[in-house]
Amino acid sequence: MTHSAILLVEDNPNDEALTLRALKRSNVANPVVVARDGAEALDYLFARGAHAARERLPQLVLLDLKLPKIDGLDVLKALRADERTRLLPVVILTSSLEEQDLIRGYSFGANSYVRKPVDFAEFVESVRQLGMYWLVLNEIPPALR
Amino acid sequence: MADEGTTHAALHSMHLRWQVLPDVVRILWETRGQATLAAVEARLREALGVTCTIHLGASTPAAGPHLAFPIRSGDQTVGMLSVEASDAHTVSESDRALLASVADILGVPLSQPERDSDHADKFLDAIIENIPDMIFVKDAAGLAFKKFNRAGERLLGVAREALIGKNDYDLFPPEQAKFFQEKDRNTLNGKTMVEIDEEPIETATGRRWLHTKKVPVLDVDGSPLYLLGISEDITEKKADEEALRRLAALVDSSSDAIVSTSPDGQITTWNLGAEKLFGFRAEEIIGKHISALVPPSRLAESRAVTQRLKSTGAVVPYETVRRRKDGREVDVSISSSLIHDRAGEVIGISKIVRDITELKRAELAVVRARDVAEAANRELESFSYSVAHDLRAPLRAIDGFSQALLEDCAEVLNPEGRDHLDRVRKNAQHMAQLIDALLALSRMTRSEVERAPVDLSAIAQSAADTLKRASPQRKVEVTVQEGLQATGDARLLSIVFTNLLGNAWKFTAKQPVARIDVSCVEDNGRHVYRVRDNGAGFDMAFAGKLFGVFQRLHPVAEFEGTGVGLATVQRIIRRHGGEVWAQSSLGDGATFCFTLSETQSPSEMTSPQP
Repeated sequence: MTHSAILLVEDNPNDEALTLRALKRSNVANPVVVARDGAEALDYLFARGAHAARERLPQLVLLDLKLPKIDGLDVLKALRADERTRLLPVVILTSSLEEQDLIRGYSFGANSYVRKPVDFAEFVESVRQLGMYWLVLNEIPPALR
Repeated sequence: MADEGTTHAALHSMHLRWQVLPDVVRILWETRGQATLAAVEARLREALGVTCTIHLGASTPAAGPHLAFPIRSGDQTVGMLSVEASDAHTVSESDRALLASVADILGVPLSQPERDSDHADKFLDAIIENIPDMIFVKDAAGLAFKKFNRAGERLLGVAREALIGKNDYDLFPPEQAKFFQEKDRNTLNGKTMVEIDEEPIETATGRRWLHTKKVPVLDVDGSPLYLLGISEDITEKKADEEALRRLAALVDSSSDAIVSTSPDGQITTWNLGAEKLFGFRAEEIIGKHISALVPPSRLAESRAVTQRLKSTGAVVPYETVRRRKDGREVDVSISSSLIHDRAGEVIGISKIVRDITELKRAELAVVRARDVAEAANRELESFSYSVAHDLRAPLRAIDGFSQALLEDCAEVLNPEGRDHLDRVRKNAQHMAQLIDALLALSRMTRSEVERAPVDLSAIAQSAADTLKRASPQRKVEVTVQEGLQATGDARLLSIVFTNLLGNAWKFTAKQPVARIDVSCVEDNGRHVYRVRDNGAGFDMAFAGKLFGVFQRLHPVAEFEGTGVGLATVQRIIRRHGGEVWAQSSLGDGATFCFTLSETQSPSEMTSPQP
């Protein structure tokens, strides 16, 4: 069985490398696609531009908030507004714990909000639990299968 | 009385004048009998050997001492024979003899003088008695009271029997008696009336104020006989006048314009404040209509307010614009009220007009300052946002790649190398904590303080419970006094107790039996809340550093922490209008005390601190 991809939307190459490392160490088998700004993320999700050939929707989006071009919250708004991606699980993975970000994240339809811990051991544990929950335990709606 | 008057006029219809020189003696013979003037003249000439003329005419009122005998014929008084002396001459026995001889000459019987004056005295006494002012007579020699009327008794609250024969020193305090007698002497010596516009007098019912006239009564030689006093009680009038004067002074000194108008708006009074505010002098504006001060755009409003005032009797002060003499418009606040007479009729309208130009300017300045503060706040918010986001990312990389190095290159790292990497990671994590603590501090500073009744006992207990759960291995006896109530922001006060109890918890770690207690004491009428522990304490020499950001009094190796906790506590307490301080000696536990303002201004509660 081939797993659907995880879309990691992250502009910081360090965080990208660490997240990939954490995913690998958590034995997550899904392929990971990385979008380095909001525009690229939307291209991938809506299969357009450089990603026109994208076949299946990702199973999970890990979305940073502070992104070049299109901000994370705007990416979220856009994909919730589109019929195809309306139900896609989106986890906000960010440094910010600002109340405003939390409130807006959830009100725009994020499924989870996780703060990236500085301690790498904790970070690995967070990613492991995310993977376990969203990729294994959680049942997705039929439209996304 | 009318009959007497007529008789009197008839008696005076004829005058017999006889002069003795050098001192003038006038003998008046008044008669309604039949004797002819010529016959009388002839008889006098013959009897006295002097030439005399009989003067016929209206009588002039007697000016000096006067002796009169009625001339009777049977039961009827047919005339009056009298001797009148000039001022320098008293009626003497010789005058009396002269009169008798004249009567004899005239061949008229002379009866004993009738005591007419008895009746007149009674009449006069009744008048004096009933005059509503105090009237008194003192003898000139000893200044003792001779006469005293009812109004005087009533005024002094003393019966005349207690006064007659006494002098001022018997009746009044020495200072006053001295004053009264000095005036009496001035009057008697100067032989003229002395008027005392205002003098205090001690009475049975307290101090009264008199307006007194003192009149000398002299004998014919001009030596003082009596002192006549007439005193009006002006106590009430004086109080009224004083109240009026006080009111007038208030109106004069007021920096507000105080103006009154007739009911239809003609200006009737105009104080100094009005002169300053409007630029019109009183004489320029009194009599003009109040609308002279109203800019055309406000005429309708002004009329409506006057209408409402007249129909409802009151209007709330309102802000509007008025025009000065120079045409400049000023922002003012106006309070108006109706002026009623005793009968309740509206006789005018009073207006207090305050220049609020400065107030308006200050209001504007406040609004501007608030805008600036809000802009600064927004800037601060975006700054802390980037701090949270951007400063943490590199720390994550430092920690993450150090860990990756430890894992991936374990076989090439010796123990020393691994220790170095551990230190790198520990420091990255500590810096992350510092950033979080700073963010919390900044968030706390920006958030509004909500004021409500809070149960401090419950808050403290809950903070203690959290600590117990976090380190169940610790044995700490925590006592929280029951029923600590205060007013403040529950969320922020909970941060205070989390920090203070957290500190106490941390610094008692090395005690075999750790004790923490939370209580409240009263000090000078304010509530002082205390968190006491038996922990490591600190040296009071460094107490000033306790509440600074990143200030620590213990090495990290001994007690960990960010150095932000007490700074946070201090900010919260200050934003509650209170104070926080600490007492300790090294090794002997510490006590942290704070107060919360019990009456707080709203601005204190909500203004963001820089």
